[in-house]
Amino acid sequence: VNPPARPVLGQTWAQAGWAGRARAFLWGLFCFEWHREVQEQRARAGDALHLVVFGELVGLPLVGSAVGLRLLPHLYPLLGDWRRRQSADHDVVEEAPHVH
Amino acid sequence: MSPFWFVLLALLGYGAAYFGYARWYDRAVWRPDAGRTTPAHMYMDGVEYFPVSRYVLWGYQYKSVAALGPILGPYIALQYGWLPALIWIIVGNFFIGWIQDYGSIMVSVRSQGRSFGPISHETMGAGGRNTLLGFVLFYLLIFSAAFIHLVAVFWNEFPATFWATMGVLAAGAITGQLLYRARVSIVVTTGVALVLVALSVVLGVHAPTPADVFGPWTLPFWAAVCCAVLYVASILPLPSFIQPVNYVSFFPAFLAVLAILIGALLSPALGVTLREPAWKAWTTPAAGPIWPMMFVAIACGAISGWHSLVGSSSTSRQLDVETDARPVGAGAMLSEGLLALASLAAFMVLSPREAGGTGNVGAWVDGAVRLTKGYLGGPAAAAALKAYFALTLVIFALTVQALVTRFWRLVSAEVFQGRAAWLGRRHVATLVGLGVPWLFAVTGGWTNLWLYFGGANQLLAGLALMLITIHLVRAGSRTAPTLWPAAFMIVTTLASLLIQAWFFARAILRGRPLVGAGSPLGAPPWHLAAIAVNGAFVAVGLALFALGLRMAVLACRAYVAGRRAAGAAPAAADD
Repeated sequence: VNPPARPVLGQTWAQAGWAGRARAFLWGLFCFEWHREVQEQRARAGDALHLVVFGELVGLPLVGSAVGLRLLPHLYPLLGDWRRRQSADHDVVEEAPHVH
Repeated sequence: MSPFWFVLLALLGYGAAYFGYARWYDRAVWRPDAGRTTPAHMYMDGVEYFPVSRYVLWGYQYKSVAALGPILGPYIALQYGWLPALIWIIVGNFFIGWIQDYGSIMVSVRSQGRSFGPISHETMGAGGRNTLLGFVLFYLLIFSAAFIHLVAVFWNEFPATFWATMGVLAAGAITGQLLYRARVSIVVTTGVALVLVALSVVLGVHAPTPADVFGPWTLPFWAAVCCAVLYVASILPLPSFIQPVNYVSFFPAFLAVLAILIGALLSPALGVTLREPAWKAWTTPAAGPIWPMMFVAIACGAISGWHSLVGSSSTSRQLDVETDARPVGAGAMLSEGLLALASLAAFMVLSPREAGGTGNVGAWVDGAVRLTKGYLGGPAAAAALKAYFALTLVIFALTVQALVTRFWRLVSAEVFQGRAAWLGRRHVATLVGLGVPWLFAVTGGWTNLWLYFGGANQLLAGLALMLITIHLVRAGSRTAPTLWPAAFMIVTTLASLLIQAWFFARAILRGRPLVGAGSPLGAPPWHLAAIAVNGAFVAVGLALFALGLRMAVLACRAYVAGRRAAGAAPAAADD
């Protein structure tokens, strides 16, 4: 389920009216948390794949570079986000929002 | 007088807070700029950082902050009368509550989306961050004890709820399988799940569990069953169980809250009136003096430290533009104030005798039935409504507690790394995170547990307000709107923790342990075990006090240093 980031393409919230706003609120209330969880799980699986394939970039040569090179065109667009997530500071307190 | 009038009063008060005070505060202190790039755009990865509309975030923030705090807290506050509780919920939220939620989001947005852990490290050094972690660890212990105790009490007091709860858990597990394995659409799955939840209520009504099945040991028994359920829930992978259960559970819980609010607004037409006295006493034997106890009893409805963790770790990373922070942070918190008032109404429509004196927190269910049965089927529907409202209490507590247990495990792994790393292992940490709270839950009375939990929670709020103030003073902006509330919350909560610790210490000195009503641990030979656990309560209270005091001292030092460095000219908090 994708988030209603904008009411309708090309419209403003004022044009979308109260029904559009209520729909967005209810989506945030019931679905957004799950949407985020699913995105995070998908990213975690993707990060593991990146680590196996491109591990040598961070000093962990798990798979031969020939395999990495063949997969590079497919995975290249995701490499930037992967690198940023791996190098970012993560604090255990950040897990708190998942409680509730 | 009917509950309608004070709900109306709250709507007016919160309207003034949002459109008056919040607008002024927004312009005078933070000066949000819609043109400034937020972390959601700066680091957009579709996972942690991505922009969503303010309406979506408002719904998310509201869901993240609304739970049992605003529902059950007013029960203890009612021991002083409903008027002080009403004033605290309205005035506390007006001047303190929403400012903390809004400020937490803005501090994180202006700090590249960092959470309070790194921010406390930056402002107060490694000691500040480690103290925060230690504080969170003790806080989670008390949190868990309070919620396990509540589930055990509800399962025993409302015989229809146990099998209904099991039905909801099964509905959640089926939902997960339908979505992830069978790939059924979310709309169909949700429909199936809601039918299963409704059937669970019917099952609960027709298959009640026997009350007081093990005599005085019934509460420890239900608490152990609760721990077993929580153990499974927190060990299983998130998508298999807890995630879909949370999704399924929130529908009936939200509808229950909505039904009570509608009942309060319809109360003049339904003939429901207030029966609790407006004022009772300055002090009570169970809870202690009105200050500081009432201010920590109503956790969440007026202010809650937990909100600052949500705002700074999650919401701030999805904020589309800075100007959305007010509708999201202030809007969600003021909405939660309405939830607290609706819950207060559910207690107020019962007479003091019906509410059952201290300890009968399940009175909320009877009040909710009285508020709603007039427009939801009349007296014939009372039994089903009672099962339904009691079930919402249980699933609110159980789903939150399952995630708290997981969180405890993560914090344990962080805190005990090194020589005591075995304490952070998956099963060991889970067993400790459930075993110790079980022991606390079966000895400590509900009032004492809740006041400890409220004290720790509200102290976290005071510390969050100090972190916001430090950010503002470093930016050369106004600090009075957050500094004074921070000082009030820190002094109040530290005092409440000391008083609670003294209650337990006094019980030990007298040789009469502080235990829940009807607990078998109050009589020999078990009273010695209860005295030992009371000693642990004293230790936990003093540890929370010491850690909180250390955090407060470090925060004050950082504030003074920031004030010296900031210079004289006030500016916007836009570093």
